[in-house]
Amino acid sequence: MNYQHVEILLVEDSKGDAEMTLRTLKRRGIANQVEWVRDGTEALDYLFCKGQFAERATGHPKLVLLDLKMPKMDGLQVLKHMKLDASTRTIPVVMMTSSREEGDLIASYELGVNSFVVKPVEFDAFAETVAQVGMYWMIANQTPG
Amino acid sequence: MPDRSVTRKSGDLSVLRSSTAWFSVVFGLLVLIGWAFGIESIKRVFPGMVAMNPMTSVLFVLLGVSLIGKESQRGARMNTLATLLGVTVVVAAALKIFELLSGMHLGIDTWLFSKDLATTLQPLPNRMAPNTAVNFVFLGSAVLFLDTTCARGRRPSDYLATTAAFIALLALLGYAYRIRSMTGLSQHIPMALNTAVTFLITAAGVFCARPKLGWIGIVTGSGPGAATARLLLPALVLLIISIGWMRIYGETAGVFSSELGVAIYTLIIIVLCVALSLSSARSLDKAAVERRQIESQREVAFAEIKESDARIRSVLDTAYDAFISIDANGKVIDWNAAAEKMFGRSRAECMGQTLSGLIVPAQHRIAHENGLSRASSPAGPSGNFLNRRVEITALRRDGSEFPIQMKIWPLVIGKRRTFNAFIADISEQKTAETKIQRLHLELVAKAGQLENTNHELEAFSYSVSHDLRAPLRHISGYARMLQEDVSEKLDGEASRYLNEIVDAARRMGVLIDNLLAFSRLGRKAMQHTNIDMRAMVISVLQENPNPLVCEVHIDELPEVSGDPQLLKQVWTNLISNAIKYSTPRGDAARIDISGESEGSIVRYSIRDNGVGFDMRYVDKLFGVFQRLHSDEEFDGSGVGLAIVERIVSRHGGSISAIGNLGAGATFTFELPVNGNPDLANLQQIQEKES
Repeated sequence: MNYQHVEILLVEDSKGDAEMTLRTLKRRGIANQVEWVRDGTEALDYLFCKGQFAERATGHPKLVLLDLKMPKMDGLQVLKHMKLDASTRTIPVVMMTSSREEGDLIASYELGVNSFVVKPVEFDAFAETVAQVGMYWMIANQTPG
Repeated sequence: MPDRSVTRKSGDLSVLRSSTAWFSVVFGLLVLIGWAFGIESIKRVFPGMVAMNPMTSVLFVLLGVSLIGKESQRGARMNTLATLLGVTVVVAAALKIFELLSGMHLGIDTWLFSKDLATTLQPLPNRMAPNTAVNFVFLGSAVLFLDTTCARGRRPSDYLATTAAFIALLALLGYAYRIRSMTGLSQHIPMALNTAVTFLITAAGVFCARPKLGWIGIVTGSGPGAATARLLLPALVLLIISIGWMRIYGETAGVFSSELGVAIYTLIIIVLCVALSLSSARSLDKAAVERRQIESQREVAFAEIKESDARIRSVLDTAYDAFISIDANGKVIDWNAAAEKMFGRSRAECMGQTLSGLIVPAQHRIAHENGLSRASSPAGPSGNFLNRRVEITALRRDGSEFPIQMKIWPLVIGKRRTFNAFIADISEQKTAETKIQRLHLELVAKAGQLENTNHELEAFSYSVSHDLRAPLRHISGYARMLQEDVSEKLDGEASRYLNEIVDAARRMGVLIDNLLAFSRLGRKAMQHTNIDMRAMVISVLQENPNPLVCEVHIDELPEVSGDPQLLKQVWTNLISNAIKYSTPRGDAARIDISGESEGSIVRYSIRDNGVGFDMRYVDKLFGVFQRLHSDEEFDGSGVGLAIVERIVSRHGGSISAIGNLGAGATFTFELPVNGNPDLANLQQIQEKES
């Protein structure tokens, strides 16, 4: 168990996407501590210190990168839970998805998403996007608390 | 006002009727009183004249009572009594005649006041005069036969009473003209003056007893003849009597000789007769002319009625709907040709039959009869089924029931009330309605299926876009990561392979995007605005990312109504194609964009002088992922023209292409000028169905 403060929570069921994201974030030096969970349930467990994360060090990540389409509990449900709870409401959430579906976009914004990003197919573009999102939310943006 | 005058005349007669009979009774009694108390003035009117015999007065009383009884017509007992009295009068008078003829002395007229009679010898012994006795027989018989009418309407009482009246009048004239021979028979005692007057009045009473029958009926009638008779008869009788009196008076006074008197009298009578004959001839002629006129008017009116009837008949028989008319009892009084056909029953068979037994199905019969009695109520026709369209069922002759629509309306002419109906057979309509309903349900079900399919398609395209992209990203990502991590260890060829992998993944990404764009086209709701096509083309050219090397010529382009975003996509795809395929021409490349308007259609063409295409493959041009050139020759996904074709067809238009290998291509699309969202939607549905 890593006791360093987690900066980014990456919620991503695709191993490939997760690996590419983690590599980009590390290589560009945006975040040293990234926690990667594989689905929505695990994400909520992490955020509310339940299940396997009951023992983790307290404190919230500075940013949640949330994949939209996941097994069991999808990104929209996770987002809903987060925005309903006062303790997690202020954490910026960036929705990452493979396609620009109008319905998903609207639903995400209605639930209070902070950003909605389409993952480009090409790796270079993908890496660039992830880097920009990270740079903006981790460095440029100011959050309360 | 002939009607009112008749009413008045009849009223007068009824007064006359009872008063004349009562006069006979009262006067007879008065004379008897005169005998009883020796009042001469009652018995004989003027001194020296013959007195009324007591038996004569008794018979007048009996005759009067008999007449009153007969005329009143109050039951059998009264009638029997009146008959008895009448028979008594006739028998008594007949006995007197028998006495005179046979010379036997029966003492009929000396039975009463015999003492007084014996002393009265002036001028002759008072007896009942022979003409008086005859008159009693006639008048008594006239009363008895008052209600007898023979063949051809002849009434014995008319003849009897008239004869009696003439005999009495003869006696009266005798008194008036002082001619002894006219008042009585030779040596016999003459008829008394008061007797003659009473006879006349009683005779009048006999006529008045039945004022509408026989000869008196002519006078009391309502026609112009009766009016004339009422005026002329009394006037003529009085006039002739006066003329006769003047003649006698003139002769006896020696004013003129007897011959001259006869001549003048005759002349006056002739003048009177001629005048009367002429005037009646004229009025008869006039009446005949008027009657003929009326008749011809009536004939014309009748012909008109017949004609109008024939016209109505022909209208009714030509009518597409059945027409049936019934009376207030529900009996058929009209049944047209269409009704014959519709119900399978002939007009002749149905006329006079009860409608409910002919065409009303058993379950409606009670309602039909209730409705009919409500509509026939004296208060006036009522019922919510009148004067409106009613749908119900009816029976054919073969007993089959079928749906009808009818409108019933009541018609009141005078006191007669009829009910009329136009009836339409709506079997076909009902069948069609049922069919439409079934089709509608089928359509609704199909639409539901379509919606399900649509949802499935959406879910499918969602997964395609989502799930197919992730592995592509991974292929591209891992290839790139490999390149980054081990680039110094790879030779040029290996590095190129990795690049190809990345490029292939990118191209597949583009294909997926285009495919999704194409499939979304069908679902996108269309907007319609008026579009300046020329401005749109110019803006598309300006937005073209590649620098323009070819010459582009744009004609005037007609406006059209359509979805601006979609039509811009059409131009974008067509123009980029034209530029792309004419690039090999270099500076000589030329693109012509033109348009024309034809009725409700607008047509746009874009022509290039590029590489063109082989017309053999023209049908593949607009298919998805169909390409006529290799990727090496020209970059492309094979979706652009498919998108163009779909957008044009969603606008209710069509597109065609003409190509010439190596010499260029022309694409022409037509759109309805006002747009056609309905047609476009319909086409969309049809496309989905197929």
